[in-house]
Amino acid sequence: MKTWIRIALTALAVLSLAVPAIGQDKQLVIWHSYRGQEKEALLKVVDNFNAKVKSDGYSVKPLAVPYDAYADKVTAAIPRGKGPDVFIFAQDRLGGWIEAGNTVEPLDFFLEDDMSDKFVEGTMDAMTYQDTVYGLPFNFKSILMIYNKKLVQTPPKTTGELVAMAKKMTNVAAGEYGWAYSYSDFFFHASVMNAFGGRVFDPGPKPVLNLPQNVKALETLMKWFKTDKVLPEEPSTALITALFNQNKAAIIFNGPWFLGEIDKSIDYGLANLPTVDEAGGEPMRPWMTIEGIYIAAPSKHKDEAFELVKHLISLETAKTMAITGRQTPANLAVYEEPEIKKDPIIQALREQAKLGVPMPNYPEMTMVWSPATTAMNLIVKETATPAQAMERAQKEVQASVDRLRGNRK
Amino acid sequence: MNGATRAILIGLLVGGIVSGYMGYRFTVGAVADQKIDLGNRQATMQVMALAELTGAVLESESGVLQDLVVEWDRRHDDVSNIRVLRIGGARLLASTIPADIERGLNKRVPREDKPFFDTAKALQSGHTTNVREGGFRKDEVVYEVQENGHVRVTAPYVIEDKIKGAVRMDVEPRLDTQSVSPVNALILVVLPLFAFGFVSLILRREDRWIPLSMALAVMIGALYMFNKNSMFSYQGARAGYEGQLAVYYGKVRTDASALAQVHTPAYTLAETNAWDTDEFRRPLNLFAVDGIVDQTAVTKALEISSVLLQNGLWFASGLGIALLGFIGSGWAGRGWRTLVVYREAYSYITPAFIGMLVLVFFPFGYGIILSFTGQTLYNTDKALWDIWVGLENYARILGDVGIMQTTETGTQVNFANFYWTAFITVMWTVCNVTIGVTVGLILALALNVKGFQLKGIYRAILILPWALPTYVTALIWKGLFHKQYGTINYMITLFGGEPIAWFDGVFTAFITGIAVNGWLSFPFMMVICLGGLQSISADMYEAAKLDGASRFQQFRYITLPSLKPTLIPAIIISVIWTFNLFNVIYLVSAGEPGGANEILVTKAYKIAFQEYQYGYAAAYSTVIFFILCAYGFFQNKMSKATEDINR
Repeated sequence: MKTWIRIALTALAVLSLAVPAIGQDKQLVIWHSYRGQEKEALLKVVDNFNAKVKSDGYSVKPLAVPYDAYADKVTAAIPRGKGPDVFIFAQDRLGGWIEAGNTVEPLDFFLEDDMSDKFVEGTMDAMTYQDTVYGLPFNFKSILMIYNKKLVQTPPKTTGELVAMAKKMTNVAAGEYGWAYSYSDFFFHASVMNAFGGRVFDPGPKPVLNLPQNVKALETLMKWFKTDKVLPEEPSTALITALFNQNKAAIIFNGPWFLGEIDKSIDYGLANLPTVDEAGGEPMRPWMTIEGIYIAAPSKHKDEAFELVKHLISLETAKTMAITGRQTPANLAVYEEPEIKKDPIIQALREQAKLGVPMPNYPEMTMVWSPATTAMNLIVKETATPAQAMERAQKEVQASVDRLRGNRK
Repeated sequence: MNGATRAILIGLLVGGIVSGYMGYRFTVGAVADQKIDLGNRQATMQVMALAELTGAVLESESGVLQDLVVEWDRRHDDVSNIRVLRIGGARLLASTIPADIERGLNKRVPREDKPFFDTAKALQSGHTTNVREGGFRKDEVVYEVQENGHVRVTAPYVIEDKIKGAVRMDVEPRLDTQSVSPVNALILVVLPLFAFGFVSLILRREDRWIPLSMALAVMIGALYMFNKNSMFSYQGARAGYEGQLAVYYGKVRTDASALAQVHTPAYTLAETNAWDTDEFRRPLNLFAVDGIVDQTAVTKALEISSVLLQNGLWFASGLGIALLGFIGSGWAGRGWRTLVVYREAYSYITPAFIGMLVLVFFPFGYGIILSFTGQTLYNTDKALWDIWVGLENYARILGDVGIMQTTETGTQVNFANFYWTAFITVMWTVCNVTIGVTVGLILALALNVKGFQLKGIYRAILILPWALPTYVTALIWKGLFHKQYGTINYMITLFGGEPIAWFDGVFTAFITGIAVNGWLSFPFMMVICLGGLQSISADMYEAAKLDGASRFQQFRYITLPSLKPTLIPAIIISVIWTFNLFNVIYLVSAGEPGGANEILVTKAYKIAFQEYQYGYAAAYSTVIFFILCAYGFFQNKMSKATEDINR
């Protein structure tokens, strides 16, 4: 008897799940990996959109996908037509998805020519691969200078000022540093590399890790670390957080993701990364990660999807995402809004973005990380000179790139 | 007719049908591909010629493009639906489709033409990519077969050496190939049957092997003739097609130069055949501008294109012969009888077997096939046999014996080398399993002491490391090993030592992995040992005690032998787990420094998902499989030997 009840209940449950799917309007799905306030803001934005298009007979359903699984899910599901209609992700995987095919819909057809003027500089480049636009920028992030107001009155404008200031405050024996950042992390180091006019790829993309500018940037870093002795050893993210929260690091370089980890007792300020005296006064240019909105290539509702994309890049959305979601939108007009103008964090990020460089979106970029990290470690451990280490990394990346392209006709 | 002869006759029939049918299908497929190829080349000549004129007209602004296009359409009755699209502003510049003209030219194309626009854009950026990378990867001419069999072909037009837009048209294929007759395949099936039947009448013997080898000889002979014939029906008429294409080209060229004189008088056509190209707009050069066919080039092209069919026929023949061997030798019959006798048992395992087939054997087989190809991110759209590289991946993995390398900083180990990684993997496995078993056994012995207070609580605590998610444990350990703030270094400094940079040295980084995994793996071994210990009867110890055996002797001669049957399977499993243990290495040391502490699986992951070399990574995984397979056989033999002693 009990078994029968269980079977009946299961059947009911299955039916009740199946019924709402019948006779419903067109429904678009958008994937995101937001949590907390970002998610709240996005849900609000999507609700607004749904209210607007209700009369057009379709609606949008947001679906949160855990960040760790996100990229792999996109890679696996979308080309087989199982994915969303629209999805949000940073530009670093874009090239790989385009090369894999049937994942990201090209958008040039929908766009007007002056589109890139509407977005924060550089963000549109991140959405462009092989001269074709595949997405529209949603928001951006980059590292900037975060300083402890108790220890630093005016943030330094040049590396000369920074090093002088840091020297005064550094006391290695007490574990106190004037300046700390994850300099051995290639992502962080890129800001210094870019100041020297260095880069990872020439157009092609052709890896150029061993450029003299890159070597120069590393030599300068080693000077700060070894000669000036103003940076801590083994600068892991956990260490930087600990130092900053214990008033033991006056100035750090980190991104907006770090702000939530700052202890409530710390009064901090934000400023642009300094200019580099050794690079002739050129500013440090951090790599920007730009989250874009993409239409899935197999989507059956591309026109509606583009309506959603348009809504997501609108001023109205940008305002919600900035105020509720605490994001820094790629929409330029939002920075003229009074509520945003008086927000010091968002304004600081916006200022830094003027000097940012979008991180390359080539699929070849994934081959750079491991050799570059190895090279950075060899250099800061002084097992190899910058020139030697970068030469070796270049060889390794070039070999991987050649092998990747090796089997074409 | 005895049983053996009957089996051989069935084998001949089945083998003949299978290889005959497959060979026939392959040949038909190859001829169909040839037909598509001919249609595409005809379409390419058309579109390349018109694209060249389009570029010339637009560049010199000497004539009206629409007039040229209409005239082109009028002169070629195999061409229809010509459209010219400029990418800038998505403008339709010319068209022979009435609906387009009605809508008006020089306007932005409507939404339903997005695919056309995207194609034009892809041709433009594809060309740029090819030039930048210095290779040929992206198509520069695209073909699409329509429902009515016409080829819709799109090619870019060029102004001042830059691609500005695309020309698209539908071309009706005019050249046809000969069809393949199935008679050959029928002969292949019937002829060996009769030949063997006739021979077996003369040769009345009970022996199975002599008739079988004769049948094989007959079959091989028939297959040889069949394959020759199939190749001939594929290749034979090819030279003729080339002549027809050359004539067709001549006609297109005459029209093109006539129209060029009218619409762009200043422009002269180059004296080369630049319109008969491949999909990258590279001239094939199979016939010259004057229509003279280059026989050597044609023969060479034919040889290249025949390889696939040749391989397919070899495969079909091999399969046929294998089937004949399998059935003729009586194995198939025996297999079938077992299946019938134990049909109930087999029907019970069918669902599980189907599950295994889909979830295990299919991906496994696919992985093995993939390991023979050069698949990377850039060629996933290609068929696997187009990127077949044979054993090259294996040769690259196993043939790289340069473990030591000399650089400007002196001679050192090349950590990227397979043998180094294999060595580390073996060391990693041996160390981990030894630690796991030793610690587990000691703890189990301690917990097994009679009258031990609070045993349950200790046991629960000791199992905890196992209960926590590996991620959490691994990341906590990583923090413990931090040079400046890690607890381990803090303890070292408490005792007056120097802090160690754990992840910088090959050996110290290796130690971190061992420590973490030792921590993670002992509870499993402890639980297994505990179970084994509890099943040992106390009588044996009592008897040993009476005989005056010491504690160690009891352990050596009672505990260990009694534990063996439980311990050995656990060790086998643990070796395989540890050998392929991804999490700990990936999360704790990430293979640092410089990839020195990478084990084989993490390396394979890196190759597949950071370097996008799928074929190479598949070969890597296959090598790992064979290593484990060899270990499994070896271990099986060993454990069987021990079991025998026990009995």
